[in-house]
Amino acid sequence: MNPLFLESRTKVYSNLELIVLTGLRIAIGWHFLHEGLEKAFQQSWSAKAFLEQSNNMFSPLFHSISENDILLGITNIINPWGQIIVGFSLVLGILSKPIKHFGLLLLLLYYLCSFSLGTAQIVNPILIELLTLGMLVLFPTSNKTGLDSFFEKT
Amino acid sequence: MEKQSQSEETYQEATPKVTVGNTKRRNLIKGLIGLPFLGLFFQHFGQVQDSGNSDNYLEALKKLGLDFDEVEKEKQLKPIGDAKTLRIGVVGLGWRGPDLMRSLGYIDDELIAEDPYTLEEMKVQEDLNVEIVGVCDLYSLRAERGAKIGSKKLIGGKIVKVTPPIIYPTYRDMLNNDRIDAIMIATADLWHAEIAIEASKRGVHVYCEKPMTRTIEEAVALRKAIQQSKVVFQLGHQNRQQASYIKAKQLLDQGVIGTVSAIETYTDRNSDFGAWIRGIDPKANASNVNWKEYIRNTGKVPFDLDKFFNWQKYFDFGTGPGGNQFTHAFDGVNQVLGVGIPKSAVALGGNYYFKDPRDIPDSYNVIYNYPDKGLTLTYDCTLKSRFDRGIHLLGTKAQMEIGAEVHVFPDLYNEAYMNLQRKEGAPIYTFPFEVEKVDGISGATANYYKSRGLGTTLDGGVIVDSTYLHVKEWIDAIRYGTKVSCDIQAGFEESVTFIMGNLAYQNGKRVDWDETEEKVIMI
Repeated sequence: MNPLFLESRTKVYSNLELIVLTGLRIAIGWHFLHEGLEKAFQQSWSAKAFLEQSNNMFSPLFHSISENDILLGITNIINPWGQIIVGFSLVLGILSKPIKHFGLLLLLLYYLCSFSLGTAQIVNPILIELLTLGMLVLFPTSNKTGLDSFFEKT
Repeated sequence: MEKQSQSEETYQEATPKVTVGNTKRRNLIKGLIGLPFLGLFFQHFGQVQDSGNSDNYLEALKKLGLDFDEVEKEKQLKPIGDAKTLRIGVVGLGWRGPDLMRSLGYIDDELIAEDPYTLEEMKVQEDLNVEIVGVCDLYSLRAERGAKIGSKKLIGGKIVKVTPPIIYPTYRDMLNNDRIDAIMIATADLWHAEIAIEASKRGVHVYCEKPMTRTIEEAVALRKAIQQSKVVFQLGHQNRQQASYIKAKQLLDQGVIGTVSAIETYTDRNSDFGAWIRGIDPKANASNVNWKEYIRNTGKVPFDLDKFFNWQKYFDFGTGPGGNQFTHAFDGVNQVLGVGIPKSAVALGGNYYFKDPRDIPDSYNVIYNYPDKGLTLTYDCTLKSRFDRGIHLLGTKAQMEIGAEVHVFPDLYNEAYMNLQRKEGAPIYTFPFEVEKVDGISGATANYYKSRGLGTTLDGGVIVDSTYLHVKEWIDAIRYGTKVSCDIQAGFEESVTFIMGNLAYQNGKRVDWDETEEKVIMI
């Protein structure tokens, strides 16, 4: 498969490294999947409240999305389904490379929307998840412990 | 890329050939490692969905009468601009006076500096077509500040200069001048009744800060004066405008928590400011404070700036924790349950911590008894421990806590409610719903609405200053004959109830209310 879609690594992991990194990948995937499915199952869910309560220098962008019916509608589709796709990809280790980047983009947007200037709000759980997923981009595992491994050149 | 491929190949080649079969099998297992986790996830998620699916959960709450719709208020639809401009006088410009002026659209830099949200929140306020034509305070610098606030108004999102109000030396001068249609009273408690009675005699509409009066005799006299006049009276309990209180009343009317047998109210403060040490303006002295007028109804009291600026600490001028704080909770309870005046009250407490001059208690507990309603109401106050507790209503089916939000906690024996509890000790219902449900991927920590406390409320989904809504309701009532939510009868019940507690504390006796004679009996 095209190297754009497949992860590769130059370093051989020890078994323990592989177990921990895979566990981390599955855990983050699990979280995404849960958040996405919960939103998708809840018909009344909307990103509006989350966007509206944004209170930082990026707020105008998020407030404008919340006030625009079309943009809000798109956000309300991309959010749950995006999270579900990222979740499946991470748990199963499939198409990990591009989808991890998509996950990073989602988390970056959540962070920009939600952070505010307080000790507890600058570093919030979203930022930690963002950085952790970033780490998983640098230390991929799906080519060993994921469905991506079946597409790998042998 | 080439380098990478090379090292991958190196890795592949390094694998011993004799274990090719095993390696293949192992790689297959490794590659599919996510599948059992996915199965586990869906097994778990399915269970959660069955028992606590957000929609099912909401549906189950709805069946119990617990919905999340904001109660719609009746809106006055006539355009305010077409009506005659209402001329208003403000008396008392210490703490609440400037707030009341802000609710009418007036603003100065100090008010903006005090609260960064002020301007934003004011922008959603409608222009009430009023003019503050007079201000009055017995401390001349405060009166001047009032005139300064009254010279700037927010119109169409911009602060513009307007004709400043006239400064009157006393409220009587203001009333005698015959230039005002309505008066807002934000003085020390001892002046509320007299000013309101005098205004009503002249046909001037009255907005009075809480508590309504300092004594029961004043409450009786003021109610009589208002009833004999045609003026509109509104008492300043803005909880009447709170979306949470209005929702709580709707839910209670539907009986969602069953029969209420006990009501608990609290004040838990732990600061000098909370204990009504508000400071003395260093610029104040006998030449710019009208002490003679201040003590006109009190008898001879030597000049004392502490009693002028920190009047809440003295029963001769203020009303203690009962009048200052309990009245908020009581009016909230009266709003949602209509409990009215209790049959009797007992109170204990003392002044144990604050050794500055004062005669009000810093620890104060009252029990009110309502035999005809089958309930008791308690008020617990300490000024030496900070804790936020709302009003607690203990019902046969559930417990309700009312503050900026409404929470419903299940009675531990009520199966239908307990089944809805998702976490031990957690409420099964919180209003407004959005407060609980703002969520990106992990939920947001900041919550603007919640952080704004009881000073603001939701009105049709918009965050609005609750004092503004309360004042607007009064102005609409003056113009269009609509109803006010905290009228003279509500004020009468508020005053009699808290004064019964004060009398019980001051006299060390049980105080009963004689409904027919409208007076208290000490037992």
